[in-house]
Amino acid sequence: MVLHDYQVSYAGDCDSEVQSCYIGCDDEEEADACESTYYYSIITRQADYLYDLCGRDVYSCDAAFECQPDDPSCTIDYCDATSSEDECTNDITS
Amino acid sequence: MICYGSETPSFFFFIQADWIPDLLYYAHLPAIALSLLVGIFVFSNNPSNLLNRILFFIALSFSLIAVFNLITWTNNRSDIMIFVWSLFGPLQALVSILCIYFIYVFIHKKDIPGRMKVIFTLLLLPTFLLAPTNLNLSGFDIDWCNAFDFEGALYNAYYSLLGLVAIIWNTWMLLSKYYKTRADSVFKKQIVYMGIGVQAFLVLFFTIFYLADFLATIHFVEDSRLELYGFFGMTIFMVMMGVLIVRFKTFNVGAHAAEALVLTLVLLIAAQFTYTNGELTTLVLTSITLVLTALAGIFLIRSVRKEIEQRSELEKLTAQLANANERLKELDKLKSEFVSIASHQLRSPLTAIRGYASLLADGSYGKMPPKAEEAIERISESSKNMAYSIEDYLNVSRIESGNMKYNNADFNLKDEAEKISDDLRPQALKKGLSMMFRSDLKSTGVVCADIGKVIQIIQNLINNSIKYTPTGSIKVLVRDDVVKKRIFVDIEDTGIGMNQQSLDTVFGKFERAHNANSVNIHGTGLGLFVAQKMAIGMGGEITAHSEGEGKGSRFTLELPLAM
Repeated sequence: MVLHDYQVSYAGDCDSEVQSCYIGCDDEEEADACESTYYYSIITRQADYLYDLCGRDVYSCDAAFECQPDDPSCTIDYCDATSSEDECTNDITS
Repeated sequence: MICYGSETPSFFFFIQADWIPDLLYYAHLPAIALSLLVGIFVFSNNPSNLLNRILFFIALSFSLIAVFNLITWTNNRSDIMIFVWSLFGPLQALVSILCIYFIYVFIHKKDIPGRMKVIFTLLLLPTFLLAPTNLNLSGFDIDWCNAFDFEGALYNAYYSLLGLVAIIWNTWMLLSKYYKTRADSVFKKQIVYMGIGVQAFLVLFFTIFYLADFLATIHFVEDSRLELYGFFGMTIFMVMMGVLIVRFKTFNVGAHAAEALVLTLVLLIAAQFTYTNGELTTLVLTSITLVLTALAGIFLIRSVRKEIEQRSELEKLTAQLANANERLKELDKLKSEFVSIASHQLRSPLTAIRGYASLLADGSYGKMPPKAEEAIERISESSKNMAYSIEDYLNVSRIESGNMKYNNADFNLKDEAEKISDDLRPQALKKGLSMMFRSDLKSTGVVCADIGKVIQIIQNLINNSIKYTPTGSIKVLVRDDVVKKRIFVDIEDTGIGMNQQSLDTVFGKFERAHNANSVNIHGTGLGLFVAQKMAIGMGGEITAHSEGEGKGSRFTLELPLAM
């Protein structure tokens, strides 16, 4: 069964001024328009590597939010307005 | 890794948080308790029964799915969650196959053939072999604490498809057996209960689970809380199993069925506590209901136990009686065989005794002195009585062994009855009795019967009248009913008569009217028994009528008219 050999994904940092970010909503209540937004990228990497790096608590580990050179499994995905269904911030490449 | 912002649960799945669905524990806990309860009760009561074993494994597999599902809802550790998440596929596939196996064994009352076992194994194998691979689950989202985005679409479709296969296969097996079973059969009702239980479970569980997972994967809904309704399928399944256990003794679990049922009710009511949100009125009402149910349950269990003990005692006694009855039949058969052999052995020497006595009486060996003549007459009379008795014993033996043969042919009953009356009239006159013959026929009086046996019956009845009538008369009347196509020979006398008790038993084997010995001590009590059996064998019967002791009797031989 799946124990260690799997990937984890989580939200990484994203600067909407220089990167194309996914847009998340912080509102507690569901509403038509979001009042408090945040920007994020998606980091995906092997679980066992991340565990060795940060232990169980990923969110208080700075190293978790950047890809190490010796970790080929790590990828950081930014929002691609042409392929993603999610709403993106301005695409800096355009 | 710990999911973002999630609380750590106690005992793997107890957590209090706003985002927890209201139905979470109410959907899981009673279903788990109920399935384990019924599964363990059924299995522990009769582990050798294949159907019981399969039900136990279905309950166990389902409970594992439910516990793992609860863990995925409440846990915050990715390693634990991805491990249990990866087991959903193999377990759901196992439940599907076990349900097909269960219905097959229930319907055919035997194990599946080896070829089908191979098919089941081949169907299950991919789900187990591929479970630890990326084809099942490749990752985990620790932000949202789920693995929907990492589920293998093909793997997911495969085990969900097995659920659909189980639904279709079971429907086909249940319906074809239902239509082949007799309408008044108890098994037909069992098929209905079993069908509702298993199919409701499969349809609710697999369709809702697949739908909830699919909608969450395409992000149409935020989470898969819809799947909670799928667990109620197991409750329906187990309730139907409970009905089968209590009403039809399907799993042969005896008194434990009542205990399981009461415990289930208590558990279901107790499960309401998980849904009360701490409201005082609801808490109090639920507590009162729980206590009252528990008390009523204890009384119910006691009375069911008592009833089952009595029923079991009764069943034991019935079995003993059946055994004793079989033994008696065996002994009766042996006795008939013995009587037949013994009677045949007696008849040959008796024929010689009667023959030589007759030769002595008619002077073939010269003139006998008067004293010797009297002795010879006694020998003749006694041997004649003995011959009649032996014939009776032989007839009883033939009747009881089913070897009595009837050579039916058309003959005129009125003529035969008249001839017999004429033949026996001198005997009656010798005793000082008058004897009259009369006929009142609308038909020709022809019957299709064994003439020898009919003559024997009428002779027997008239002889009886002569024997048991000290003074008075004997009347023989032949009459018919052309509408009912029946003919009757009434032999009516002014003899000793019979009371009701004697009338009830006079046609029994070795039965004689209690006052019979007062006028005749030689009867065997077999004559009327044999006559009645012969009459029945020819489609007729003999009835007896008497106003009481000392008021005479009327015996009527009834036969079908040949028209």
